[in-house]
Amino acid sequence: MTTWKHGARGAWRRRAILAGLLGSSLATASSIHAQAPRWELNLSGARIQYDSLSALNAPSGSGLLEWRGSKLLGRIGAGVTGFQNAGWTAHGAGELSRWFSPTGSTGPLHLEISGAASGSKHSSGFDTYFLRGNARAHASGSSFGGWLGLGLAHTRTSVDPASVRGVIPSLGAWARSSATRFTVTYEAPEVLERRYHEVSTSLAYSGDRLDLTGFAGWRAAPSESALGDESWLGASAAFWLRPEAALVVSGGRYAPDVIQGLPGGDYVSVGFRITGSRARPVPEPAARSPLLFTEASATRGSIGFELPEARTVEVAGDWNDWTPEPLSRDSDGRWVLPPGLAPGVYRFNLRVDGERWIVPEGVPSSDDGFGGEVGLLVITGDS
Amino acid sequence: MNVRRGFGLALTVLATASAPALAAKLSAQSMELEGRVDARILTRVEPVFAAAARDSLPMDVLRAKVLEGATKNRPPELIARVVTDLAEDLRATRTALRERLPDAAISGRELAAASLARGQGVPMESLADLWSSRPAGGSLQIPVTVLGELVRRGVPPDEASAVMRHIIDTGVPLERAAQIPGRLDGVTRPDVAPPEALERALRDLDIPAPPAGRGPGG
Repeated sequence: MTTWKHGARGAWRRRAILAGLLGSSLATASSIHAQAPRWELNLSGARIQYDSLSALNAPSGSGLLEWRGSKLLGRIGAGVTGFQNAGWTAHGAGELSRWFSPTGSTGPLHLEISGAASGSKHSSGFDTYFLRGNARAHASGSSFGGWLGLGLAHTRTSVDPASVRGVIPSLGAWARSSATRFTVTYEAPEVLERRYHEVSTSLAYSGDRLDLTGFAGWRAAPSESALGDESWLGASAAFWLRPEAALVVSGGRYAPDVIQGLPGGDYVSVGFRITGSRARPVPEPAARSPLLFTEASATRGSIGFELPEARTVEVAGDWNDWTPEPLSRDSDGRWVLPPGLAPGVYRFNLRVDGERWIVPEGVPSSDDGFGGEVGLLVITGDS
Repeated sequence: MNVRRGFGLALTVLATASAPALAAKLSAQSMELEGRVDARILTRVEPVFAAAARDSLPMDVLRAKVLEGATKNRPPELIARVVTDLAEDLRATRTALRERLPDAAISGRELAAASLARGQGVPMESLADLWSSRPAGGSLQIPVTVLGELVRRGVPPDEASAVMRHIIDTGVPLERAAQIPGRLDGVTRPDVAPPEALERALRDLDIPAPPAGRGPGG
């Protein structure tokens, strides 16, 4: 029997927390930039050494469902974790994020409102829940960006009915090359009138058959806190055996969570993941191949572009003597080109909200000679 | 009448006959532009158009560039410079192709695509290699565009042109061939070299790879 050193409350709390960590740890790194809808199943076995406990083995199974639209992200996950001689815990989590673009969908500024909820229940009857809401302002380019945000968190357990609240200002920045992404985040959670300062970093790489994620962080605790300064470090590697199956190995150290009171610990985990659609820790750049359509699709008028925040969209190109033509939306909300384009190669631009000329996302662009860019549209004859 | 005099007379007749045609062509271009662009632009681009018409460059390509600049509200002097550069690119591309393939048929749209491909890094040898496979009555506009997109993505020009030439020779539908750059984007990663990515893209699209060792003209 595992020895728990800090009484029943601490023991059950740790088990519930551990279950949540095990269930979500494998999914976390891979689920950030998924193309939706997608699903993922994870089976893993872990060896955990918490700071104040004996080492224990913990097999875990979890699942994830995710839907990502251009302005909305929804994700739910659930799982079960067994503990060596210490029962089992079921856990679940959900997250919803909505994006707004005050400067239009092609602008660099975006606002994000998100909410997350999670809970767990141990076989003994002990349960926990955790809620968090975030508001963030993002400024994003194609290879770097940053954000400023404010979060509110609320947590409670069945053992202690008094809830704990936290206020979490944060700011962060990221930079990416083709397959590598670096992120640094600063958070200053205030919990029980004590302010902590936390800096965390992550570095992710996504290759043909390998995804790597490393993380490290450091936190300064106020002198009156029972928690001392902390540092943590870890890495995860997913070896994709097939496009839909990966072997996942991870290890490192978790830091104690100041809001939920989660303990820190060292861990090693080996697992297996299957998914309907691989989600890379570094999103792939948008394909900028020729915008290719067949003559039939051009005749039907089914060539469309997603610009959800645009109020008006006009198109001008080689086929219409560069005379701006207003586009209309189809039933899916896409801005659709007028039908009847003949096979050929055309250069074109879109004008959004009567302001500036753009090349839509995913369309190859070349220098237009006038200080801007022009897109390429290819329509082939039906064979 | 000796042969030399006869040739000179023929040239004179041709010049006399073609001058009104050229003037009419230019006039038509100007009239089409007049309603769309202001006089300052017309004044600047007319000499470029006159020279282009004399050289039988594709006028619709130049005209579209003027209209593009006007629609984007660019300054007349910039539009004139861009159109002048485009005309020179078209002229140089055609001259270079003709040097390698004196009898090659080159449509205006093909020439525009070839000029763009050169800007994307496709050498003239690769373009000439592709032109040597031009099917009678067929257009190289899309194959040349795809060739430029492949080279822009890092595929060595000789390999890219060998693939495109093989596609033309074996009659692969252009609809499928035009998907190669997009499929290439899907498999290109830092640890996958462009030639290997191209091989995978072709396999994904069920397009036969060219015989090993086939390079330009091979």
